[in-house]
Amino acid sequence: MSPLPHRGEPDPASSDFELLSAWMDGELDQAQARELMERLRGDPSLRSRFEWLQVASDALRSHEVAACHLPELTNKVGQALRSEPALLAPRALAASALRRHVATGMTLAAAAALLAVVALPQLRGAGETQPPAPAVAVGGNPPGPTTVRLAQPLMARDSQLEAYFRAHRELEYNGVMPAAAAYIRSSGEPDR
Amino acid sequence: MNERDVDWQLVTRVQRGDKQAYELLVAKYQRRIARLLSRIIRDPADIEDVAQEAFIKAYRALPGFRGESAFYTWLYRIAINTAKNHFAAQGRRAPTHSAADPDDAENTDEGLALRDVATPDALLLSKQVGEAVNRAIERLPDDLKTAIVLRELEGMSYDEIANAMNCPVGTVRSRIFRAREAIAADLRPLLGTRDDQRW
Repeated sequence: MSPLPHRGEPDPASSDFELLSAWMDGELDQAQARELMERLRGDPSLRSRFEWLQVASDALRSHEVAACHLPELTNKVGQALRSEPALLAPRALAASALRRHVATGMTLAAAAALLAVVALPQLRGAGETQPPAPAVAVGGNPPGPTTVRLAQPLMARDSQLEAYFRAHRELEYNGVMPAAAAYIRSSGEPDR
Repeated sequence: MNERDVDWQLVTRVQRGDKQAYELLVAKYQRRIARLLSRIIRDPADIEDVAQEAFIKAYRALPGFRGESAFYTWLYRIAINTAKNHFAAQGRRAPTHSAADPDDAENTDEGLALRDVATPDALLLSKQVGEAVNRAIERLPDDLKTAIVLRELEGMSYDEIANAMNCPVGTVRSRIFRAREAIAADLRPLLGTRDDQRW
């Protein structure tokens, strides 16, 4: 461990140590902090200084806490860690968590689009007595207007909507509503 | 960034395989954990062993830490459980408060009694640390003293301190660092080892 400089002695590395002190306080931006942590990896004197700056910080807040300093503990834990495997798995877990969040978001977006396109128009038309389908009055055919149903399905379709449905079908089993997935899919299918 | 972000940054580095980042977390929190354990376990040698075991257990459990709570809160629970296991392994029960002790409820944690019965050696060291800190602060120039007190005791950010002291943030950073250095220099003879540590 590198000793602390005596009072008044110039310390060429003091700007690094000053950065370390600011980092402890959360006062560096992300880029500066990343750079400092890289330097900490390769500089034992910087790590030593970190520990002693922490001791000073603890002592100012509570001398009882600072008095519990175990000078060999960090060293002992470091030695014990050498026989421990490095932790690498969480990266993959984090990536899968991200995929899960994206999939959930897309599923919800597809469900919301379906609701807007299918359910809302039907709800609006529920109270009407007249059929909601477009009707054409054909003159000369008494006693009343003849209703002509269009061959097209009621639901308007376009290519963008079809893309939504396709995305929904691909992702629906990753979503948060597996029980509703089958219903949503059948509602979204064109009439057969 | 804040202090919690700093911990999280270190945690994510450990989770990506950087063991040295974990040593920084140990260096940061070992005194608070040792202080906690000293309120449960009387033997100083046992305190160090249990603290070491708690830090190793925490390292192994770190892949499951997602940052929902502060790192120290999570570590604290592991230390408490390690202390309980320590007593169980010795065939002893961890000191607990009885139900007839309601006044001490705030000093209990998960049924464990957190005593404030320090050994004479620990009391003496604590007193010496307090005196050393006070001496160091007294010797500091006023601008360093004000900056470090506003930071450590009032918890102000560098921006807030710069406003209060009417000086640039860079000056605040420098003053806080120099104050910490001076205090650390006075503490090292009390708390360091005779031989330099690995760092």
